[in-house]
This record gives sequence, C-alpha cells and structure tokens, in this order.
Amino acid sequence: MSEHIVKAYDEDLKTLHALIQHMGDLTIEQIKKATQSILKRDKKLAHEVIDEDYKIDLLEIKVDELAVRILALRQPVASDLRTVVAALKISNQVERIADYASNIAKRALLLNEIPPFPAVNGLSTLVKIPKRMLERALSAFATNDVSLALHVWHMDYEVDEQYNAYLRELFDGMIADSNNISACTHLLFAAKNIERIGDQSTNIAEAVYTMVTGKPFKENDKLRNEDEV
Amino acid sequence: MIPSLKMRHLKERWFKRAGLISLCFALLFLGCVLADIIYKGYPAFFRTEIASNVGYSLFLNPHASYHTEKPWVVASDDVDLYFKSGHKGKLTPKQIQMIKELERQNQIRLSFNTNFFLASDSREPELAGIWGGIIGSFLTLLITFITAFPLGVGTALYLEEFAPRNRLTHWVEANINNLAAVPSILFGLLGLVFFIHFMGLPRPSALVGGLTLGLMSLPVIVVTTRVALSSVQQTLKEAALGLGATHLQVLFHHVIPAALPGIMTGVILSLARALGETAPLLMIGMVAFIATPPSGILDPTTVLPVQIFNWSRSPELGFVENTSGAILILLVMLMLLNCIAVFIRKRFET
Amino acid sequence: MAPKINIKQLNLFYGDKQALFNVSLTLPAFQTTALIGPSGCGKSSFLRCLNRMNDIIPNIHLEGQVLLEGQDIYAPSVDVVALRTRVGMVFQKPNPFPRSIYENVAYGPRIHSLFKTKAQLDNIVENSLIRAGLWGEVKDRLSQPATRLSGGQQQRLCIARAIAVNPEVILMDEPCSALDPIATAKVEELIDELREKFTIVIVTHNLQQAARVSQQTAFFHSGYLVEAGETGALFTMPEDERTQGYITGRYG
Repeated sequence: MSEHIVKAYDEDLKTLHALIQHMGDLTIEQIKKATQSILKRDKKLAHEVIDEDYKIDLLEIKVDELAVRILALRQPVASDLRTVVAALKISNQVERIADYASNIAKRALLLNEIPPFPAVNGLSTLVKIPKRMLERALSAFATNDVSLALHVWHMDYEVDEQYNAYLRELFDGMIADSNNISACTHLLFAAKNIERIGDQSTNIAEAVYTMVTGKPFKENDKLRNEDEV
Repeated sequence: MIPSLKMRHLKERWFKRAGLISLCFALLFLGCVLADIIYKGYPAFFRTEIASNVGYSLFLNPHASYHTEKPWVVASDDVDLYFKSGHKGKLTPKQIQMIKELERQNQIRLSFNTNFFLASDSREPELAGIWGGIIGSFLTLLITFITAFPLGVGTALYLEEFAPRNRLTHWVEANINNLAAVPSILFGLLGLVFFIHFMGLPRPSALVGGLTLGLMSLPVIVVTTRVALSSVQQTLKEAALGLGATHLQVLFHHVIPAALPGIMTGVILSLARALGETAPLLMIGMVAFIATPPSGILDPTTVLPVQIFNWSRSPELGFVENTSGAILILLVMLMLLNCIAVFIRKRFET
Repeated sequence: MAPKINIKQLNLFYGDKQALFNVSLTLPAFQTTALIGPSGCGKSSFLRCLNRMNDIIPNIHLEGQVLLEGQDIYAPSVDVVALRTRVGMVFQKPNPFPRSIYENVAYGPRIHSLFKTKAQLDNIVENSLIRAGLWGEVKDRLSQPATRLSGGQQQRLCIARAIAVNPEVILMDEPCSALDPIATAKVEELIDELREKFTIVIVTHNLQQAARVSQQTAFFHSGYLVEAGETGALFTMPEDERTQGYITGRYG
C-alpha cells in the first residue's frame, strides 16, 4: 500500500508495528527461557523470566497509548483503523502469553524443590508448535497475510492433540507412582499454560484475519477459506 | 538577524515618505487654485452701490439709473472695480476725487450682490448673473438624466445578465469601454451632426445639449453599472435561484437592490461630469450670448460652464471676478453632487 | 428504502471538457447521502445537476437521466422553478439575503404564494425556524438584519429558508466549511433531525463529517463515481483501492 501524505502518520503506524514485533520477540524469548528453566532445572533462568515480564507489560501500555493517540489525532479509517484496532487486541494477547511464560517459570522454581521427573522432557516437544504459532501469527500481522493467519488457526488442532497426549502421559505417571503427583501437577499446569499460548495465538490470527478482510472471524468462514488456502 | 531586513524597512519608509510628499504637493496645488479662485471670486458676491440722491449719473450704470425710487443704485463696473480693489481703469483723476468725496459722505457702499444669483447674462459685468446658466444647466442635466439613466442602466442590465456570451456582445462591450474614453468634443460633433443637422432640433436648446451630454454619459453609466452589477455576489443570486426564483425575480429582488448604491454613484458622478462639461456644448452652438433664462427645453439656453467660458473671454475687467465667482458656484454644485453620491453609498452599503 | 432520486448514466460537459462520466447512483428517501472526493472530482457539479443549478452556466451539456420519483428532471416538460421548490439547496458560504431574518425565511413562500393570510406566513416562518433549531435564538429579533447573525446562525437560517418552501430534497454544498466546530455540530445535528422529513444530499470535504451525518456515502474521483455504499462499510472496508487511498490520506 502506498504511503500516507502525512509522513508522521506512517511513522506512527510503523512504530505501532515495531512495538508489537518487539513485544512478540521478547515473549518468544521468555517462552524459550521458561521451558529451558524447567528442562534444565535452572533456577536463575526462571527468576530471569519472572523478573523480565514487566518489560512486556510496559510495552503493552506503550502500544495502548500509541493506539489511543493515533485514534485521537489521526482519526484513522478503513485499513488504518483496522490495523490500530488489531494492534490493540494483539498487544493484549501477547501480554497474556508473556504471563503464561512467567507462570511456566514459576513452575520451574517449584519443580526445582522436588526430585527430577522424566516426563519433563515432553514439554520440549509440546512447546514447539505454540511458539511457532505465535511467531507466524505476528508475522501474519506484520505482512497482512490472511492465509498465514488461517494456517496458524489450523495449527491449534495439533497443539490440542499433543496436549491431550501429554496429559495422558502425566496421568499415567501419577497412577504408576503417587510420589509423582506433585511433579505431575506442576507439569500439568505448565502444559496447560503452553496450550493456552496456542489458543492465544489463534486469537491473534483471528485479529489479523479481521484486520485484513474487514470481516469478523467466524468458524464457517474459516472452514470455507481453508479450502481455498 | 536577516541581513536584508534593514534595507527592506528603509525602502518601506522611503516609499511611505514619497507618497506623503506627492500628497502634499497635490494638496498644495489644490489649495493654491482654490485660494486664487476664492480670492478673485468672492468680490463677485458683493456690489458697489451709490445713494440715488447723488446726481453723478456718470458713475451710475445707465440701465440702473432709471430706478430712482430706490435709495441705492448700482455703480458702474469701473467705479465698482475702483471701490473694491483700487484699480483705476478708465477713471479720470477728477472722477476718483469724486468717489473719495462720496465715500467720506457715506453715500457709496458695498452690499450683497443678489443680482449675481438672480440675473441672467449681460454685457455689463455689474449686471450679469448666473441664474440663466443655472436654469440652463438644470434643464440640460434633466434631459441628460432622463435619456442616459434608463438607457445606460438598461443596456448594462442586458449585457450583464441576459446577453449571450458571443463574439458580437464581446465586440459591443469592448466598444462601450472604448467610448467611455473618447474625448467629449467628439460627442459634440456627433450631437451637431445628428441632433441638429439630421433631426433639425433647435440649436442652442437644453434638449440638444442634454441629449449630447446624455450620449457622452451613456458609456460611463453602462460601464459603472456593469461593474456594480457584476460585483453583486454570485452566492446571493444562487440563494434566490435555489429557492426557485426566476431570473427576473433574482434581478429585481436581489441584484438591483444590491447594486443600486454602485449604480447611483456611477450615474451621479457621470452627471457631475456632464455638469462641468463645456467642449461638446461649444460644438453644438450653445456658446451664444443669451440674456434671458430659458422657460422650456426648446428655448435658447446657456449652461454655467459655457457662461464661465464666455465671461473669461470678455474684455471688461469686471468679468474677471464674475468668472471666478461662477466657478465657485459650479464647484459648490459639483461638490454637492459628489456628497450625494457618497451619502447614497454610505446609506445603502451595509 | 424507496429511491427518491435515481441518477442513470449521467454525463456532464462544460464545453468540450467532460466533468462527469457515466454516473449512476440511487438516493434513498429520508436518508442522508454524503458525496466525498478530492477537489475538482465532480461532486459539486453532480450536486448541482440535481436541482439544475448548472443551467445558469453557459455551454453546459448533459446526457443521461436524473429521475426524481421516476420523473426525469431534464425532460422538456419540467419547469426548473417548480423543480427547485421540490429540491432546495444550501450553499457553502452562508448567504442570507441582506434583509431581516423574517424576510429571509418568508422570501420563498412569498415568491411562490404559499400562503393566503399574514398569519399563515407567520406560521410558516416560525415552523421553519423551529425546524432549523433557530427559533429560540431569534424569535425576539425577527426584524433584525440577518447579516448580524453569527456564521453558524446564518447557515441555519439558510436551512430554514430552504425548508420554508417545503421541499422534498435538500442539497447541501459543503454547508459547514465556513463554520467553527460547535456551529458545525449544530448543523450536523440539524441534518440528522431533518432526515425524518427530507432526503438530504451533502457534499463535504470533511470525511469525519460525512461519516457522522450520512447513511450512504459516494466517493467521486476525476468525474467518476468510484464507489458508493453504506457509510459504515465504506469507512471501514472500502472496496476500491482509490477510495481506500483517499479516505486514509494516501496518494491516489
């Protein structure tokens, strides 16, 4: 799309995109670190994740402020308006995802108090797809890519399957030995948080879909468009 | 600090000063002319009178000397001149001695010259007046107004509002603009050929003079009226048209009332110009000496500026003050007309 | 909504220069249609075709149809004076007549003889001023010159003057471009109220105004009607790239 006549307007929108991208990058890093802190029983890393969550909270506030400012001063319409509205929604989702990362790190601290448990390694597989979903959803926002957004939405099925499989693994562990219950419960919460990251990423994808097409995201739309993709 | 700023301010000051200086010059010249005319002209409003019981018929105007029942009679122009300004003229030293004697006996005096306003032209400067010229001017201007106003305003209305915009109307418009700048004497020639030779109207009459001046005023009235009409805001016309007014209703309800101050100003100023005009009237023979005021538009008539012209050519010294006096009267009339124009503009232009 | 005016394949020429190209648009009754577009795009020319205000311009030539309730207003049998009582107009600059407030509103009814008694005329004037939201402000000074009113009041007076002849359609050519935000808001509120009884077409350069007051928006560009649609949809999801570029402030 061509540039605005008022260059400062373009600058504002670019800043908005950059802030979201920065939030996303930080959050993905947080997810990685949080997972690592559980896998490697790294207390320091876990603390780092928990301590850095405020950065993302601050970024969300910045996005809110900038978006409101653009709404007030530029009175955006059409695609610009949809971009700003999407940015508001997406920053909110990303902030939630960062909270999940922080929650996972808290579980790492708790897991550190008890003996190592082998099922922990399942998390490294489980986290892969939600992380990729978040990356792709943000990439779809940056490039106005509807098909990528729909793809992200679709990936959530896989996450659910993997999550259910992992839950069964944890239940089996608990049934096998009641000493595992404490560890498994922590892992269960961590897994739930990872699964939620996937869900939030689909929300981002839906926001991108609405931003690009101007239509609300509905299940049947998604199914119809899926055939086209 | 911008380097050229000082220079720019300096230029501005010099420009203002130059304007002020030229204005002062203009005022100075105007003042000189006015002072000269007033100085020369105001004695015309007074006349020298001699007590009628004095037997010096020599000093008396030969026509006035019959009215012996009056206590005071008008002195002859030479006595008048000597009494007012000490100019000896043709008077012999003995006569001067007699005037001084009369003065000592309070039997010679200056009084207001009602004759100057109420009498018509005369060969004798002390008996000549401007009444005939004023009546003549009035009648002539009346004819000018009656012919030029409706014709001029009508033409302007048609050209501005109804005429199709094509080559012919452009040509007509250009020529009307040119006519407004044509020397007035050419209109005199036109009047001579058309009204007198062709139509055979009586020669030095107010009718012919008025028609000729009307011809002269016409282009000016057309041009000023068109300017006044075209300066009426388009939005005003659109407002009325948008309400469903017809073109004629728009014209008469809105355009003409709005343009009226401009139209009237143009008309009055062109009448003022006609009032002061001499050249075309000379061409149509209104230069003749006419001693009785006209009683109708077909009577032989003279007008004030022509009378001034005639007086200025007269050999008698007494006519010098008469000339200036008449010029003063003409100036006052012109100023009155201009004041009316300003008043109309102020009154309606809100 | 029933169509009030139906424009079919309208082409407008000023001499050799074509100002409008194949414009077809339907104006629904009792709705406000906003015409937007860059300067010189033909939106004002288009507006002036709707009450034949363009007739006064020489060398104008028009093709196509403008149907007011099915009747072509350019048909030879249509009297333009009668047309303008049905399709009134409010202009960019407030242009009250240099007369009293009362006479301004009474002018239309007077020239069309819309009343029999003085009381009826008083009634028309009062109702028009009430409908224009001006009655409270001017009822004590009806005999004062209209030019003493403020700009916003003058514009509402012009609206009162337009509705005094009881038109069916009111055309507004940038009615708020000379007004401050408060006066603009009052006129906008008025437009919204007038929609109950009149069909309104408004030309505006203020996109937010178009968005605020209209139900339908039409975007003109270079003499073409690029896009017309429900205002909310047009401002959130325009279909045409040029509309998008114009309303978001990008180079077209």
